[in-house]
Amino acid sequence: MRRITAIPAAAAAAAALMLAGCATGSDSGSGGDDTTLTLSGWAGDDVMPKIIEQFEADNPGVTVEFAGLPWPDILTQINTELVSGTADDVVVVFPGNGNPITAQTLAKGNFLADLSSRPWTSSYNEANQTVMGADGKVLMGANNFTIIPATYNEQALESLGATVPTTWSEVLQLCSAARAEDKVAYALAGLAGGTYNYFAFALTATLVDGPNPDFAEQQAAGEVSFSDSEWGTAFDKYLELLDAGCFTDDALGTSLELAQQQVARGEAVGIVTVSNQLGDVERLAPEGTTFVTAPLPATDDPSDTVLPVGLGAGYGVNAKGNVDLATKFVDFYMSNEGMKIAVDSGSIFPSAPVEGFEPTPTLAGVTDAVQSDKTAAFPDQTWPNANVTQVFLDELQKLLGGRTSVTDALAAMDTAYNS
Amino acid sequence: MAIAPAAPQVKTPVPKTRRHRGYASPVWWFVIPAATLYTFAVLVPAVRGGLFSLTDWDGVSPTWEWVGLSQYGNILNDPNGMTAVKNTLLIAAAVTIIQNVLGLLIALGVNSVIKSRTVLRVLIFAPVVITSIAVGFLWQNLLAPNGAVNLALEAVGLGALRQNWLGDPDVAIWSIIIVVVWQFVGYSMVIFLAGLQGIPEEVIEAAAIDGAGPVQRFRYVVLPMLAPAITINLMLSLIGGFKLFDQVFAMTKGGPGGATNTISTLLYTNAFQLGRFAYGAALAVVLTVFVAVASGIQYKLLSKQEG
Repeated sequence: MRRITAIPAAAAAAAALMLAGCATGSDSGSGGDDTTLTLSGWAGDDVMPKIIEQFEADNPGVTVEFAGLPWPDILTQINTELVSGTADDVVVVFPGNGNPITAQTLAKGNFLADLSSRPWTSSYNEANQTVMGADGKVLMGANNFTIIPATYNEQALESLGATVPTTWSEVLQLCSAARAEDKVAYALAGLAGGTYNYFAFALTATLVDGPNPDFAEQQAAGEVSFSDSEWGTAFDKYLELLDAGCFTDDALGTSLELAQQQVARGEAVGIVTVSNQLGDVERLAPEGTTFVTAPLPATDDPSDTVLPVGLGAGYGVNAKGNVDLATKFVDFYMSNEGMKIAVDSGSIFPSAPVEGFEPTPTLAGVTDAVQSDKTAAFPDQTWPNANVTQVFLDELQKLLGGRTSVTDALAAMDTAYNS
Repeated sequence: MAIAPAAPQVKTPVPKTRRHRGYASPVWWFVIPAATLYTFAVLVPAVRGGLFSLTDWDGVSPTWEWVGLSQYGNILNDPNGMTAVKNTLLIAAAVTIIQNVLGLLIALGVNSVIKSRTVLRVLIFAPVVITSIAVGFLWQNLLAPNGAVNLALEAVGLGALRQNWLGDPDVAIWSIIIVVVWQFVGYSMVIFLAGLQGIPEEVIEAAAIDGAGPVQRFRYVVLPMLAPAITINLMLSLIGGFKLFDQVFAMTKGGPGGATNTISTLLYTNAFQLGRFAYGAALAVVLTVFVAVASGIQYKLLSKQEG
């Protein structure tokens, strides 16, 4: 009998050991001590290692363990780790709403520490502080602005004898001139993860936010909607460009990489995409190719043109992690010294004034616009749930494919917004 | 005549069974570690997922409410949900039929005495060992508007057949089906080949001597003896078709405009990207039911056929 009872006991012990092993193995993130900080950042980020290096030098004995996560896995991985309590001390967080690791999404679970009292927050206006947090709290810091300019291959422009368009009519003229030379004016990636949404944002900045800078607040209050706003005009103008042959042929089947190649090689004259993708375009271009950026016009009065500028992704502090040390790190990341390292190392556009900042030659064309009042935040950062973004992306693809009307597309977006 | 004395009646001792309780039970105890792990790693999450489909949980909030079956109602009311259900059924049916018909034909071909059969078997099976996500990205490039497929069509004078393979909603779903068949037809071929090589040569020869032609031999001899291979092939391709995710996600992410969403891609997007975890869980339950019902019916039908 002793043998018989020993077997289940041994099996139970083995099971307990295995489960204990699982429990220990999964707790890879949070916690740590006062000298070790864990950080989930971007795979391939060549700026963050330099910030970490300086932070470690300024804080002897402190070690920062950096884990680089690729896009789009970073969205689900950080979200899942925060929900399960195993996230690193410092994690990538996006401003506003629209994906699983935005400040407003994560605020629902109280996963992020409140950074409202940090000194750097005073450098940001109310609108920026709003998208960096929720319920009046600042939950993340973003050291960079993301811009959506129109970027042009200067050699391709010169070959057409054209200049950067500053009015809507000039945009249409560029389309005709490009087609005449067997090129297209704008590379457009219509596959998911492409650039087609950015073109819409570039148009709505001028057509929607330009005449009504309070559109987002009014929409949140239920006073305006997509359907009864200039969003319809923006979509109509998008289709006008499509009909005029301004875009890559079969754009809906074109990937981001192919669109970037087209403008890099001069097969397309320009591209409208976020500024943090311009490095890829430059890398793909033959030596000697230069690029210039400018806001995309949507009317025939250049003074109407508004540039979409939004806070880029940044970092937040895991509320269940090593909060003090993590906060100290985010403070450094957001400090003038930290931003200077980022500015000197990469092509970011700093979200706060940095002494000696010189934009890259490509981004020089929009520097004045970024620092002016002719900017508008990305609309999806203020949408109330991520599903609005998904519906917007789906409806825009249908619109470009001729599968829906502007009216129906906007109605679907309104439904998602109000659901 | 001497009569041999009768052999003594030796009572053959009946071997005592050793299967008394003390030795039979340990077999079950040994299962405990694996069963425990399976329970916590599979059963508990599955049941919890099913329960979450009855809530309104967004995946991050600390609280949720029971909402009954309303998430299932949302599937019916969501245009993307119904498109995903239709696409899943279409892909499962098309992949199952095309992959198995082609797999059988190829198996019959490479089971012959042609010289290059070994090379052909390797070439046709090779895509099976490539990661599905890599296959998806590979074909995304090949099927681009100026990709290799369209360029090849133009090069051989078939430019009229040039398509926007991934950008046209009507074509994109079939592009995905073709890619899946391309990847897994070798898998079906190998199983059919194993079945064909298990058929005794004499049986086929006997049928030939009896006057059966090639078609009759295939219909009345080969096909019945391939029934086990057909069962396993149909089952695997049907389940694979229902669960299809990687290739769709890599090639179109469910676009354009949701036209190629499957239940798997839609549940992933909703549960992990849109903060609609409960809706994603409801889609997962629907997918589980589809797979279970279809596999069960198919298994019953084919088992009868196997006799």
